[in-house]
Order: sequence, then structure tokens, then C-alpha cells
Amino acid sequence: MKQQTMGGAAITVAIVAGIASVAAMSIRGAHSRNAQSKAQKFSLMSAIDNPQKKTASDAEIAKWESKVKAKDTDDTSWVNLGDALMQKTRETADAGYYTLAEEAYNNALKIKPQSDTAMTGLAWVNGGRHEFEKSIDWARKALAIDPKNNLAYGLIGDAQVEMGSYDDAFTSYQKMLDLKPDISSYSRGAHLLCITGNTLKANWLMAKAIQMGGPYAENTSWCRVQLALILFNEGALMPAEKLLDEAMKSSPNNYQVLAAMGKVKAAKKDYASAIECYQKSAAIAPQHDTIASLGDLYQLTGKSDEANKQYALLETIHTLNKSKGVRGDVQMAQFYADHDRNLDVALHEAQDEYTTRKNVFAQDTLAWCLYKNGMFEDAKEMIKKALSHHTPDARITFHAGMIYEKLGKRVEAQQFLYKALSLNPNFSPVYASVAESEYQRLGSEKTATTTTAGLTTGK
Amino acid sequence: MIMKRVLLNCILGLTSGLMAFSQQPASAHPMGNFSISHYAKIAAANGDIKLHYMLDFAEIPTVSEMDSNGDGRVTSIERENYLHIHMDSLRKGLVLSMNGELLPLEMENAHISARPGAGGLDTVLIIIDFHASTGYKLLNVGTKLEYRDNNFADRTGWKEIVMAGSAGGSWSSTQASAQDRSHGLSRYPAKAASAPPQELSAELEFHPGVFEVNNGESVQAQQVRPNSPRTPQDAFTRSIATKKLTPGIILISLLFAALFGAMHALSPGHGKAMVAAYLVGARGTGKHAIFLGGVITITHTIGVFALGLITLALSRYIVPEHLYPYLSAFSGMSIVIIGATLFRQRLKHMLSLSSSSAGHDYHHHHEMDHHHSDHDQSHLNVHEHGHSNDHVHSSDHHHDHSHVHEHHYENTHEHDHTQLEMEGYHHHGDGIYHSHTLPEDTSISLKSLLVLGITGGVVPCPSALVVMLSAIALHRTILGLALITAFSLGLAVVLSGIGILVVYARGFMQKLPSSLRLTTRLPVFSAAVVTIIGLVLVINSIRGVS
Repeated sequence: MKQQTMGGAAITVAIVAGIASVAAMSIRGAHSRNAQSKAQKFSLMSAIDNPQKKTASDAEIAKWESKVKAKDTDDTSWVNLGDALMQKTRETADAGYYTLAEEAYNNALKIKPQSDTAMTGLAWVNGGRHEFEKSIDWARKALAIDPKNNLAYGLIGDAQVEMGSYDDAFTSYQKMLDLKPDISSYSRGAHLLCITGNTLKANWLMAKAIQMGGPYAENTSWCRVQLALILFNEGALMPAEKLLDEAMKSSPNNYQVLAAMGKVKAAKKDYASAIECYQKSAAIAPQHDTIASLGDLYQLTGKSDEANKQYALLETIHTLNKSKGVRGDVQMAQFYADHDRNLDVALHEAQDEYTTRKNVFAQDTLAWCLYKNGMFEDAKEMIKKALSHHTPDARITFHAGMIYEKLGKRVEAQQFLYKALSLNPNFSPVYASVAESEYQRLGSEKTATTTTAGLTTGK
Repeated sequence: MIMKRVLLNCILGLTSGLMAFSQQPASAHPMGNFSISHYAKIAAANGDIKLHYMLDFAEIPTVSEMDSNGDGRVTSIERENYLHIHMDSLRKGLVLSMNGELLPLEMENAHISARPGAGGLDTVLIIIDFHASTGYKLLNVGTKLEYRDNNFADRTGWKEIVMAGSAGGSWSSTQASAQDRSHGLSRYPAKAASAPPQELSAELEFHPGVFEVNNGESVQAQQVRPNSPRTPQDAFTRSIATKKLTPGIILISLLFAALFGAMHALSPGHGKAMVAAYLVGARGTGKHAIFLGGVITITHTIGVFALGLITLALSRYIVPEHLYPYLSAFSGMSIVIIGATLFRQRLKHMLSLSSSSAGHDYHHHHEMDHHHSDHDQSHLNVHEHGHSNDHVHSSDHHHDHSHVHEHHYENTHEHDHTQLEMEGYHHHGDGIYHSHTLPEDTSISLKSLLVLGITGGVVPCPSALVVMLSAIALHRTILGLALITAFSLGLAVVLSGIGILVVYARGFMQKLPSSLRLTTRLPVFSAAVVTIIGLVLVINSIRGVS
């Protein structure tokens, strides 16, 4: 009973405290107006300060993730999730998403082994990883189930293009286009037309693709970038820049738009803007081409320290590729050849690449590496193969000119160099001037020998 | 510059032309070798916001950002230099605002370290701890915090914002998560069904949640629904935040508050079981029941006010979370003392009585003992809110045992029902010896009822406290007081009702045949139960302190 009284006393203290607190609270109540103004501030703040929006693909990923979490037996949801993850790869260039997309498609296949859309997805993943044979296998499996799967035809065509089977690729893309004329089929067709020298038609078809638009802003921007590059290849810098400006509006943080813009700015000799564009692009996705171009521009503007950092970064990327077991790092081969470094390694890499992929790019790079290693006859044979596709790329004709020059075929060499410079006088900040001076030199030598011997010889 | 490369890459059409990063290496950074991953853990502590910020540079950004001499290697000196030069710009890349006002971030410490990556290259982890003084005494209901990370925003990576458990409450947000998914960027559990989070900005809302129950169940449930606030959120707690106040709305709010109080009386807490146990054991009357219910209610109301006030006044020094265990311990110890005292008296009495009362009917005895042992165990395992019951069932119980048993196993507050079972048995056995079993207790002293009621009601319930703090935060103190009073009234009605039910049910059961041992043991047993409830409270509160 004693304890009970003690407890009671303690409670009495608490009660007194409680009453005191009630009084204190009613005083505070006078500040209600203050609270109202604060509440208004909340809403104002949220209106002004809009937090960064997630990209459309993030929203799409979230949407399908919640669907598969709610019901993980719906194969269509898994396929849609895989597609959204593949879109994310396109935007970020992060190959890590391939693993996730692959898992999503595989889950769909587990639920429905005959899901042709899941098979198409796996073809897509493998194509992205440059596993072209696997990609074709999956796409064919999908077509066996649904012969009207247009995307499967497209993916087969993509693999054929990479492997240099351009005629087969035409057939595949034509089937895709016949099944469904849309942004995917038009843009694919436009590219193949461009590679095989039909620039005019390529231009028209890509414009059509842009007109149709894609489900994501990135899709249309990508087409604009490609059309801008077709125009750039013809030396049409103004319309190319205009297209990229448009792409920049809808996709301001697209690394491909930024890199293409860097290329155009560099061609216009606006090196400061070009460097800025490349830096921005590299800050999003440090792609080999971007870093190599950035390094070259630093070198050109006398910042060799900065240039060397970029070149060191390329070596890092190369090291990583090697650690992954990638054979034939063709981009690195081209970089080494361009910069007269590790020429034996360059040749080895280019040859490796050529054994598996006989496309125009591999052929040109191998020819250039052979040239740098003094194997001019082999280089000539290889560059002929590259030229056979009529790809409107000034670099290929420039390489041809340099190779023919070494073989003493001055007329052909002059013709190639002239062709390169007339196609796009600013095709490269470094090599356009080399092409020009070489052309001048050959011209004056020719003049010197055939007409007024002993007069000044050009450089 | 290298035109056709681009051409060829893009011929992949709507696949992406990733030449350099085409395959996922076995040992490379799991987020892709040019990713930069972000991690921000936000917590509130004593009026400050704490930000634990991490950046994980994969192999390529490690070289591109930190290789200052261009040799392709990043030494520890280069790393330290990078941190030294860039920590301020990293800080400026982070924006934190509270209720629309910018909060300047101050760096507490920064750390940079290397982790081995692919191809013999390093990856780098930067950890920076920031704090921001809020200048507010307490984070209130609806306190809004906005966080944004502008560093390396467009680059791919794992981007995670974690709302850490904060002193005095919790956060809710649709953009951030309460779950630490990467464990501080130490692992990246990326699955297709949960792709790497892309959280760079989040709006967080604070919920003062003083009385988060720390049992495993509620924490787990929390992890399943990471975005839901931890504090109790129901129509009652929300009623205080209603925007416009008309007399009609106020009246409805009050009615709802009373209803919630009534419902709350049936939910865990508030010593309902104790009320019943005591009244049953002590031969209480209806008046006693009403009195006891009233005392508990008043104590509870005052307790809410007091704790709310103490919280506000001492929020700089005392976190309500910390105060709560002490209150519980105090309440528990008082209950133990009352229970033990009663137990001793009644045991003595029973022993003296049993010597003179042999030859009675034992037929329910074994069954009953069995249940009792169950009951005791559940008390030891169950946490503080054990002493409550759903008394609506108690009347059924007399007719239908199986019904109660079902509930016994389905319900989380199971021993409330066990408590009821005890009453049930009690009715079977009580009565005949009623007048002479417990001569000392036949008159319940007001003092003991008062103390019992106070100890039962002194620990405020979370909902009521949230309403109190919300009311103060929104400067609607008067409304808050009114709502809590209504809430307590509802509570009182139900608690008293329970008491009356117990008293009258017992009166009814007295007419049934019974056993001597049951009747003599029951008061002792009820005292033991009271003691155990108290002990459970004490043990739990000690756990809460440590």
C-alpha cells in the first residue's frame, strides 16, 4: 500500500505538469497565421523547384517491374520489361542492362517457351553484345513461330550488316519494311542505303523515319543524328547542325547527339565548342570515338597534356576490353594506326576483327593498318574491297589515296584524294589537311615532271 | 572524325552500337565499367539533418577523372588530390532544402579509397559525411525535405537515396526508400524485376513517430512496404491535418476521435486485461469498473499532453523515443509491485483456506491448467502491448469456447484472449466461496484502484501523441486538445464497459456449480497475471533503453 501511495504521488506530479502544458499550448495557438503562410510556402516551393524527372525509359521500367512483381507469370510483361531495359541501354550505353534484359526475356520464355517476342528480345540482346550468330539464331527461332515478326527480320539484317553481308541484309530489311513501315524499318533501310552508296535515297528514307517518330524521344533523336551524319559525310555542315540542334531540344543529354555535334563543330573549326560537346558526351558515356576525337582536338589546340590523358583513357578502355576477352578491338587498331603507335598490335587487332566481320569498316581499318606497317600491296587489295561498297566516307578514299601513292600510282592517288576532299573537305580535323597537302604535293610534282621541270615543287 | 564507324554502329538500327563495352565481364564493375554510382542516406538527429554521401567510380571514370598525369594509373596521391580539389564542388552539387529554405551542407569528413576492379584497374569509392543545421527545434508533421544530387547526374549508375530511421520519427517519400538496397554501395543486387534505382532527387516528409514498436514483425512489414511511414497513420492522425475547419468538420472530427478512442481501447495497450484481472480477482462492482476506466482515461489524456509538452520543451536534449522506455518501465514496475502484493496476500489466504476445504469437484481442473501454462508462455514471448483484449468476445466466450480459441491463434495479441479464458474459467468456478475466500479484498480501496488505473494509463498511445504533436505543429492546439479529450472519452466508455461486463458476467456465473480449488486459486492467479504483465512491460522497456 505504501508503494501505491508513492506511485500516486508521482502521478500527481505528472498531472500538474500536464495542466501546465495545456496552458502553454493555448498560448502557442496564437501563431496560427504563421502556420498558414508556411503552408503556402510549401506549395510554392514544390511548384518552382521541380525535381529532376526520370527518363521515359525509367518510368517504363518501373511500370513493368511493378507488373511482374504483382504477377510474375505474365510473359508479356516480362518481354515489355526487357524492351524497356534495352531502351535504357540505348540511352546510357551501359552494357550492364543487357544482363537484366536477358534475364527478363528468359523469364518470359520460362513461362511461355513459344514466345516469339521473347526470342526476338534475346536476338536483340545478343546483337547488342555483337554475338551476331546467336542473334540470328534467336531471330530465326522467333520467325519459325511467327513468320510476320518484323523486328526479327530487322535483327537478322543488323547482324548481316555487321558481318558485311549487305545483299542479304537488303533482303531482310525489305521483308521488315514490307511487314511494317515504321521508324525501325525506315531507319535501318536508310543506313544500309547509305553504306552502299545510295546517299540520296538514304537521305529521303531517314527523313521519313524522323517524320514517323518513335516511342521514345531518343529514337527520333537517334534518326536525326544519323541523318546529320549522312549530311556531314557530304560536307553539308549547315543542315547537319540544324538537325542536331533539333535533336538537342528533345534530347539535351543524349551522348550521341552531343558527339555528332562535336564532330560538326570541329569540322567548322570551332574547336572550343567541339571540345565542350565532346566533354559533355564523354561525361555521359565515354565512348571510344568521343574520347579519341577529344584527344585529337586537344592535340590540335596545343593541349598535349590533356590529349595524353584522353589517350591514356583509351588504353584503359582497351585494357578492359582485353580483360573481357574481346578479340579484335578494331577501334583501338584504328587509333593506333592513326597515331603511329603500337603498329604491330594494331595490325594484329585489325586482322583478328576481319576474320570474323568482313564489313566495310573492318576492311578499311585493316587496309590502313597494313599501310602503316609498310605492306602496301596487301593494303591495296584490302582497300579495294572496302571501296567496292561505294560507301560515301571520305576517310576510305583518303586511305586509298595514301596507299596508291606509296605504290607509285600517282594519278589514282590524286583522284582518290580529290574525291575525298570534294566529298567532305572537313572530314577530319587532322587528316583533311593531310589529304589536302598530299594532293597539292602530288599535283605540283606532276606539273613539275610533265611540264616545267625545275620550277618550284609544292609541299 | 571516324565517320564510318558511327555509320556502322548505328546500322544496328534500334539496337545500340556499343563497340567498346559490348560484353559484360566476369570481374568488372557490376554497374558497367564507366558507371558512377550514387548513394545518399538521409537522417535527422537532434535538429540536424545528416547526409551520408557516397560515390562509386567504376574503372573508366576512375581514370578519366583522377589520372592527372595521363599515365593511365591512379595513385593514392592522385586520389587524395582529386578529393581535395573536388570535394567542395561535389558539395555544391548537392542541394538540400527544408520547407522551401536552403540548408547549407557542412562537411564533417571525407574519405577516398580504391577497390580492385577489372583488368588490374582500380575502382574508387568516395564517402563524405555532411550535416545541416535546421535551426528548428523539432521536425514536425509535414516537415518537407528536398534533396537533389546534381553530380554526374546523366551518367549511368546505381543511384540510391535511403531514408534512415531518424530520432523522433521517420520519413516518407515516393522517390526514396527506407531500405538500404546496396548496403552502402557494397553490393549491387540488380535483377530484371528490380533494375538499378535512378534516384537523384527526392522529396521527403517527416512523421514524428515516437512510439515505433520495435518488434521484429513491424520492422519486417516496414521493409516490405518501404515507402510507408512508420508512425501510425489512420483517419484519426490525419484528421488533425484537415485543411479547412468548419463547425461541421470539427464536430465530425470529434465524433471520429471518440470512435477511434473506443476502438483504440480494444487494440493493444491500456491495461484492459489488467482491469479485468483486477476486478475479477478483487470482487469489484460496476462502480469500481467505471471508476477504474475513468482513471485510466484521465491518466492517458494527461499523459499524452505531458509527453507532448515534454517532447516539445526538451526536444533538444531528450528524444521522446528515449523517454518512452522509462515511462514504460515506471508503469511496469508499479504494476509488478501491485501484482506481487496482491499475489502474496491471496496466496496466503488460499493456503489457509485449502486446508479446510477438501472433497470438491475437480472436473475442469486439468484442462484449465493446461491453458494457463500456455498463457504464461505467451506472456513471456509477447511484447509490451500484451495486456489488452477484445472484450466484445468475452460475452460469447461464455457460450462458445471454440470461438475464442480460433481467435486466440489468429490474433497477434493472443494473450488478451487467454486472459479472457481465464475469466471464463473463473466463471465456472467462482462464486460459491465468494463471500469468504478473500476477506481482505472485499472492499476495494479507492487508492488502489486509482494507482492501478494510473499505472495502466500512464503510457500514452502513439496515435494520440501524433495528433498532439501534429496539432502543435499546425498551431491548432485547441483542436488537438479537443480531439484528444474526445478520444479519451471514447476510451473511457469502452474501458468502463469492459469492467462492468466483467463484473456482471461474474455475477451471472456465480450461480453455476464450481470447484473449490478453482475459486481459491483464481484470485491468486489473477494477481500473478498482473505481476507478469508488469514484468513484461519492464523487460520490454529495458530492451528499449539498451
